[in-house]
Amino acid sequence: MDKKPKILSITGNLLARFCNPSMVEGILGDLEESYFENKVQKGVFQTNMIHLFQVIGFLRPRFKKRSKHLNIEAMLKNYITSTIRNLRKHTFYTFINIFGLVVGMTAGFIILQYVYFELTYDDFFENKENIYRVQTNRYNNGELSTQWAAGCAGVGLHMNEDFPEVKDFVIMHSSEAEISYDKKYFQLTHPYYASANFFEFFSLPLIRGIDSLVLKDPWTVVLSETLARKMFGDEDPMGKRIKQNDHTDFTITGVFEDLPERSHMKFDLLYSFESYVLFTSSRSRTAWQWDGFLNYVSLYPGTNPEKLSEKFPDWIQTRKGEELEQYNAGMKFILQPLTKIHLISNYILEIKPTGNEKTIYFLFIIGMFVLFIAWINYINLTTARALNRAKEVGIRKVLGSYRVQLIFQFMFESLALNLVAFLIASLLVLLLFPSFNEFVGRNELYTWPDAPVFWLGLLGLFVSGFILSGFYPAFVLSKFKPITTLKGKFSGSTGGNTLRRGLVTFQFLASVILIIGTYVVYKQMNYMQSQNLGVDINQKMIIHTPNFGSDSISNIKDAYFKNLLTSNSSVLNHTISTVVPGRKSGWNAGGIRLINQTETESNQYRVIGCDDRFIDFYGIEILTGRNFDRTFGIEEENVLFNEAAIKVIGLNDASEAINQKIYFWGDTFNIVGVVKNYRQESPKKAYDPLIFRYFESPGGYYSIDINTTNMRNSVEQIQASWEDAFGNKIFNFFFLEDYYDEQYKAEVQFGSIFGIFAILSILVACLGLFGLASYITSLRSKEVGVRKVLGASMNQLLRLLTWDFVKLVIISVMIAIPLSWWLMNRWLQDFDNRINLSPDAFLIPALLIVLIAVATVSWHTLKTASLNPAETLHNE
Amino acid sequence: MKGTNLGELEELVMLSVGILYNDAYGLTIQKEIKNRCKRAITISTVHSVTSRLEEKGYLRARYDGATPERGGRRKRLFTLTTSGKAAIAKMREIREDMWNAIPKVALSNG
Repeated sequence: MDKKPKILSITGNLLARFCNPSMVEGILGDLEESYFENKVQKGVFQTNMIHLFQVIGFLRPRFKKRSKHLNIEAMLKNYITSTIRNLRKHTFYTFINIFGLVVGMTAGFIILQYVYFELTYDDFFENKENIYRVQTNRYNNGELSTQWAAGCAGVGLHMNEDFPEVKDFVIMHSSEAEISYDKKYFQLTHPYYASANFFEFFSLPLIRGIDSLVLKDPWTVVLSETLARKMFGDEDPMGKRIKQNDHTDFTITGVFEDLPERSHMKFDLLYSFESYVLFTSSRSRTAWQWDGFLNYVSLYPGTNPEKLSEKFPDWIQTRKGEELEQYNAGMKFILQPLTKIHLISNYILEIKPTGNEKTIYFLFIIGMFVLFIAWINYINLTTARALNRAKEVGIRKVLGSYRVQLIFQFMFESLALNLVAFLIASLLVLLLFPSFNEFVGRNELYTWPDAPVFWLGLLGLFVSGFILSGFYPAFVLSKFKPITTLKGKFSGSTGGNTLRRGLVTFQFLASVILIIGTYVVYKQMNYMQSQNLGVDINQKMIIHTPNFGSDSISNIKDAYFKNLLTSNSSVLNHTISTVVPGRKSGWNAGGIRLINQTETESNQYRVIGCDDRFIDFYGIEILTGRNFDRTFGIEEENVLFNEAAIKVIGLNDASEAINQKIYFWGDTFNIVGVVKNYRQESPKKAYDPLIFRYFESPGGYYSIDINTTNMRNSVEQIQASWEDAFGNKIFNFFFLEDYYDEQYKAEVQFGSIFGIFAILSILVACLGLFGLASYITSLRSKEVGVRKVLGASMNQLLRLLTWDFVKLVIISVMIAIPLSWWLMNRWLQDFDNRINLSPDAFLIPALLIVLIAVATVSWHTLKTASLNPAETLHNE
Repeated sequence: MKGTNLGELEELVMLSVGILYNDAYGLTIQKEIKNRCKRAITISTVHSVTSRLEEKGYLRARYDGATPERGGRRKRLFTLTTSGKAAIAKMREIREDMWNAIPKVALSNG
């Protein structure tokens, strides 16, 4: 007989461990016998394989050892029973626990998914780690004057030429042109001119066309899938020619997949940048004094962007140093990582509105606060009520429970509660998700994150929450010695008092911070909205002008339309301008100075082009001088200044400015008037230096003061005039109040989210306090009885019972005030025009929360204190 | 009644136990079925079926007959119990009844 093969002893051990002992000998014997039989006929390898399959065949429940010592099933059953019994016996506490957890989890999950969304913008780009956008900052006399998302034109190209670290670049420039096909005009969202390598650079997928070719030639254009469908339906768009501004033909060379919503980019049409160069000049590739160009660069993997950025100042000096010094100007380039743009950037000419990093982090903290408060509730209530369970623990221990088993039992209870709360919360989150999206102003395209990371994170949060909130109580509850608990002398002090106090303090700390935050945000919003804007934005209808550049007779059409407006009974007044109040003017002009100043004294201003009705139309006050007036002659040579601009140009007083000559891009202009500062932009910003220039027909916006008695009729009449003047050009209008208010939208939303979660956190914290107070006071009912008998007054009793809790709330208020002062100060830094943090911003919320806490606690203390001592003492 | 029905494989195993009489254990049962029915079943399936039949009370097991090929281990030998014998007899009876009930014409060729 051969020596016994090793494999047999290994599998033998395994099966002996696994299988029912009554069968194991027969099984092993059969296996070994069959092994040697096979070995005679087949090779060793094949025999071994057959053997392994045979062994695996025995690993099924039928052959499993029936355990005598640890009967998991029965134990679980027992856990479930005792959990259900315990939860049902104390419905009130169960309710408080579950309710708190549900609120906390719902709030936490909703906020987490929101935060996750905001943090994962532009995650889908393949080469995202190495792509940066070059943001341009311009300085004026050493002071920061403008910050451009779409900055100087030549920077990408020149970086690519001069730095070996830069692999490639893409340039984009937005287009205002109109698009028509077959005499039909189409509304576009953010059309851009883009470099030939655009699709390769970003690895964005094309449905039709080849990525390296689609934008190579001039007069080519690529459409988004949606736009292509809108324009051509089921027809093949490839090779079709669309008209830009009624005179230039562009050939469609490709169709691209719509961009995901979660991107800082959004456009439905891209022209080849070559076309733009042919429209303008080759300088639009290389110019440094020309802003409005989005530049993206890709760096070779392993390049340190900070090291590269350090080289920029010297590089700027070499390239354009002299030229900049001449105008007393400076420039700075910042590399914005592609995936961060949405969070960190909010500058001039962003593609679409961006998010705010600070808001996201604030929200994240708030969400976590609410969640933690709910978990703390659980810990507090469970440990405080340990007395109830002490006898149970004693009996179980006497009957032979190990401590580990008891810990498992209590952990199981906590798991059950957490699980129930989790399920309810998930349901609530699903129900609330659409309304939350609407509330924060996201469109319906937002769905639940599908990344496993997010779900794993959520699961991790749930598990850690359950362990955090379950472990400590389980530890405390299982600690009791049976002898003390069963003798009936077990006293109310269950240990962990300090911890419990600490936790309550933390809960209220968080709540107070949230309330103070809400109050400050509310005050700041109120302050901004109650500001005198200096401009009348009520009941103004605004229409985008057609693209005047497209039409040689646009002046005539414009004049005709204005005539129609004047004679229209629905129109009270109207004007035309390059911008309307509610946004920064995109026309930034540098090199402007008084004629007698040197070039080094020149500065940058924002320019508004408008007709002679604009100032009056918007109720802007003229401080000195006069408004534009066509009857005076050639107004094109005159300008108006605002107060801020007077200061920047170096004049002390408005009256000095009249008839001063200024130098503006090679021409001389005469200052004829000065207007009072008004809020062209959101009141959160400081006043911008503005220059008004006269134009008969500046492209931009018609502002119309309309008759609001029959709004619909008025709009229809105006549209009729529009069609009369401009045919089927797109009639695109909005109301100024909405447009202006959009500037505060982010803050208003932030304020309301802040408010909602503050209320939730207080609700949950108070619920916890309520439960805790009810329990602790009930423990002291006998003490109260004795005190009463001995002559304590109601007042004294109330103070005695309430003070314990109120003390904690007051401590948390004391800690919360400096913390929230620091936090809210940081938040307010974003506002040039902000409130001072006065003491009332802290005292009112603090007082409010102390009152709420006192009210919560006295509900029970009053009840306990007013009990008849005979009742509480008679059962001794 | 639950658990008294005989599955096809169970019936085969019981018949094999009967055939093998004093030498019915896992491997021999497996071989018997393989030889007679040309059906390959795994050794674990045999053990699983016998253990089920034990539970139903149709088979009785005892340990005996250790050999060196088995590493000195005894065989788990099976014999039919009285109710086991009754069960297969009943099975046979039912089959024969049913065979007899088939009209001749139904089985004739064509």
